[in-house]
Amino acid sequence: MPVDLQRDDLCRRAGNQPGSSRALPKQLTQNSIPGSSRAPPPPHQTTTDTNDNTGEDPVDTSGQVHLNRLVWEGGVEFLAFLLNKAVPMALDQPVFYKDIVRLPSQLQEQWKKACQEELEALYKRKVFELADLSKGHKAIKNCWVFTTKSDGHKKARLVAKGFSQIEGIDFDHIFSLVVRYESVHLLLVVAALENWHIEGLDIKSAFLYGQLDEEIYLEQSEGFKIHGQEWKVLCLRQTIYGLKQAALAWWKELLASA
Amino acid sequence: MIYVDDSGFMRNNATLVKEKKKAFMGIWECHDLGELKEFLGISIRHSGHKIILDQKVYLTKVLDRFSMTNAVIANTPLPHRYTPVAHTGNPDPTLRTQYQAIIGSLLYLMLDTYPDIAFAVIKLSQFSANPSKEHFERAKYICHYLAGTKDYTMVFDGKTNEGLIAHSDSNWAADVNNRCSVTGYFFKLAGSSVSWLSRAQKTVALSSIKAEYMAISDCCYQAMWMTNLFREIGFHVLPIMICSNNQGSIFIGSNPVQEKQTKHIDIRYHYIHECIEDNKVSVVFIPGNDNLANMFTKNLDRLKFIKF
Repeated sequence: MPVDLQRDDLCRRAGNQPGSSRALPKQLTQNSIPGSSRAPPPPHQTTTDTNDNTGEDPVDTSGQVHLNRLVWEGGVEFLAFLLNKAVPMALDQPVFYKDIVRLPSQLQEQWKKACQEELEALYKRKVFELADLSKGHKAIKNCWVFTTKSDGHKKARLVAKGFSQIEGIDFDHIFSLVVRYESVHLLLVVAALENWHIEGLDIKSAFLYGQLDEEIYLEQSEGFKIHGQEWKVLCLRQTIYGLKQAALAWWKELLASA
Repeated sequence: MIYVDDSGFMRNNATLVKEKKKAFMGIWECHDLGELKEFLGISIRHSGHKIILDQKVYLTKVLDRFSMTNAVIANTPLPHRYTPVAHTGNPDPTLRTQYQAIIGSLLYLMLDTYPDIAFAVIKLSQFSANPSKEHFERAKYICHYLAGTKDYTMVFDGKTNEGLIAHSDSNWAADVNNRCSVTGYFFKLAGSSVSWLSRAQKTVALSSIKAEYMAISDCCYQAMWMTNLFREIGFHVLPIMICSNNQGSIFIGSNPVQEKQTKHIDIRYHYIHECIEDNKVSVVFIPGNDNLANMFTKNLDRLKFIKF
């Protein structure tokens, strides 16, 4: 996680090389107020920092003290500070949806296209439909997960935050598949002995096939809220990734088809 | 075989496979991957009648993560005769997290394609609740070993014709902390091991014969499962031969009479009687030095280890 990396990096820099990290306290004094904007420091700031480095100014040392105090105390202020530091570091792959806007415009386009593709797939499968939230129900939050596949293809996946589901209301039985490597080995051995032909398949968005028995609502996906109907929620018909019962539902589908 | 969304099809006839695949793809929307090259992170290579498995990509990642890529190479997973002792002090949370991360990665490797580190990893994983600095160093020692054996692969050779052979072994009262013995077994087919296990026994065995006997029983469960699986996919299996290096335990296994000396052994371990009677397994003796399951129960010296 970039956040952790940044924290390690930060601590190391704050602890070992106070001389080289003068850029930090300067930004800190500007951004460390809780609730302040989380926008990354604008690029021109670096230039002002290098200017500051030329002279020993009292602001610098007090900033260092302030930083040390923050690190020591931890808590919300420190967290806000870290968040400020962590986000601009995002590489070519966003962690959260909000990181996308900080990428170069070409990458932004590509990632947004990936999200669009995922949404289209969801609509095509009729996984959910727009509805009003019925009384007594709570919509589950969701988030985007981004990966770059080994062939360079950019993939976005809409994932429900399954940890907010309540047992007995949102799900009953769950189960997760665990592979027994013995069986994989055994089958491959048989294939070797009998000189079988082996072919591979990858099922696209397998979990989206699972049928859902419970009534579950999902918030509209971040960045793709339907204009004019922002208050509406998505009523799920089939399981999506991240729901607790997704694995079981998919497994049932698979067994039924066999 | 299917795992969530990775699946593989196999049969002797290529066109039949294609047909089946097409039927499957008619039901679900799929990506056709052609010939299977990767399954759950294991790379699969076909060369003639051999199938070669390795996890080099993951292993390199693990070694990188713990900065062990250019580590000094160790000859064995753990030093000869090393017996870890439980840590009694207060747990150190940071150390514990690191330790569990490293053990978790090693466990995955061990289950998948590296049977040679099975005993070492299982042994060390018993301390993940409260590891000491020393345990951590030992876990790194396994990484040193892995750095040296990066290029080892599992090769299933279709031409070998040895049949399915199981080896079972135990190390009596090996655990200095609670005196439990260790069970180890593995199954060999097509010139490579297909299934292996190393674990502490659940109850304390009073003698080495009993420890061996429990190991054979555990091995027996696995043998039965394999027989059933083979039957399911349409193969007839001859009684599986289990090799043990303890005459006493073999005798107890094949002799249905309850003797005074063995009456306290739990019923579940007498399962083996039934299997032998039904002619599903047979237990034979081999000398301890030839027993391949040895490496799942103790830390061997270099010479012995190389032999396996």
